[in-house]
Amino acid sequence: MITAFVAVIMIVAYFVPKPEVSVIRDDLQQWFLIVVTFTMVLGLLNLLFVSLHKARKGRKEDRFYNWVTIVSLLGTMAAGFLKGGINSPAFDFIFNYIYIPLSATIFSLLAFYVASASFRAFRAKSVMATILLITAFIVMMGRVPLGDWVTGWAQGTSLDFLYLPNITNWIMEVMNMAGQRAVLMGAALGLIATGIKIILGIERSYLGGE
Amino acid sequence: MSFLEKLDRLDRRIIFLIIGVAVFVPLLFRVPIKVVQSPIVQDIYEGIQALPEGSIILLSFDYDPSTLAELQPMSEAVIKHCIQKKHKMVFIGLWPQGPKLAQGIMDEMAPRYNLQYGVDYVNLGYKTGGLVVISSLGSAISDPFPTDMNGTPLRELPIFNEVKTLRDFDYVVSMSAGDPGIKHWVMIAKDRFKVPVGGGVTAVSAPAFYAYYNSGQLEGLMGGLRGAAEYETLIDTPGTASYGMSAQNWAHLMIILFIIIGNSTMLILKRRKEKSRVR
Repeated sequence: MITAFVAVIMIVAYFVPKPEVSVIRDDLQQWFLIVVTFTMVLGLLNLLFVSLHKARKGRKEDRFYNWVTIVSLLGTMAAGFLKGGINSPAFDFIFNYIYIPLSATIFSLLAFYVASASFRAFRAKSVMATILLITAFIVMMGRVPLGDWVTGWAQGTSLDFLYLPNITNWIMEVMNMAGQRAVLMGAALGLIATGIKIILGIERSYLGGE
Repeated sequence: MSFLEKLDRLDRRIIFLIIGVAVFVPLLFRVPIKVVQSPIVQDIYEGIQALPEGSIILLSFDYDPSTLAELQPMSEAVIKHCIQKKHKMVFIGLWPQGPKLAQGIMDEMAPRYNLQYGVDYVNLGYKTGGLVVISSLGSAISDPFPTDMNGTPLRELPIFNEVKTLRDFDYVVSMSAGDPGIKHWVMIAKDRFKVPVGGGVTAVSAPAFYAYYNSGQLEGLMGGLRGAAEYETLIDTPGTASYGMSAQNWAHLMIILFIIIGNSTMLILKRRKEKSRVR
């Protein structure tokens, strides 16, 4: 009932720009922001208790890592509560010299795994795999100056269609977009259908039921 | 074991080493590379360029340090462009780490370009809620953000004398690494409040946004380090992305070579096997 009421108000407010409706919408939005903020506290406590439990009763070899999580969590929080809040030198130090390098490092490892996978798994074993391979080949060349260096001679001539950055743009803006549009529209239709089911009370899994 | 068989079972550590060298050496020499402009990046540049001096731009930092290598150069380039054009900037973050990353850039740029906090730029900080935060900005900026990042009420910041709601911004730029991000800015800021939206995303997620660009919902888009390098070239200020492109260039070349070697060895070995079977 509450879900249906809120959903209908939000939909009506989107299409009816009247102050009487938008006042209710604004209030509901404020409620949402407050509730979501509390879910973050809930998440924080959940992480803390789960890690504490695992640190004491979990697998022996994993216990250390759970302590690392707890100490990092509490340490960062304590730094944020110091004078200056998230601008305090302690918080700045944790953010700039621990968090940023660690995060960037984990993501950067992707380059190594992509390279390894390209050698081992990216094989032309079927027609579809070959098409994918050729397309990836062109896009990879066209996205870096290498493509310009190799096919720069064709730019502005009658063989302009061979210029790799142009082919890359065409692949992205025509072939890729056609596929993406289909995915987006399919997802949007699915979202609308799910939304209607939730409003009508047919879909109740978000409440923990069947 | 023949040479080809050894090559086919190449130790992954050798691949890691080659990629490491291919990335590290160009970064060491810091050779900036000018890249060919694509219309999708040019459009966001021209959108900001065409705004009159003193326009107010909302920059949303919707990413965290894991995608910093790709998105931070874009943010720096757009901020430099705004400073060149004397636009005023308001920073927010739909991701918790975003505003701190914006602050990192401004701590360096504000003294260099003599920018005054509260007049030339403001950092509103992070607010959880994604789509609803954007929607709330449409009613009043002070609804989700009664104060800035430092706790100063908005009424005490001169920039907010002119800006009261999302509609009052001349342009929204979202640097986005996922959800919430640029898609939500398009849905609310552009579609509902008619504020132009442009931005930047990681290279892997860029293909998903071409449909928004083509439909006119997105003014322009920077995809990955290449997008950032294009923007740096457009504002004629080579930065991290232009230097990084050299490393990316070599890394791509190596990956292409790996694909060629991997497929060639596979085909040759397959043929040999078939021949030996026939015998």
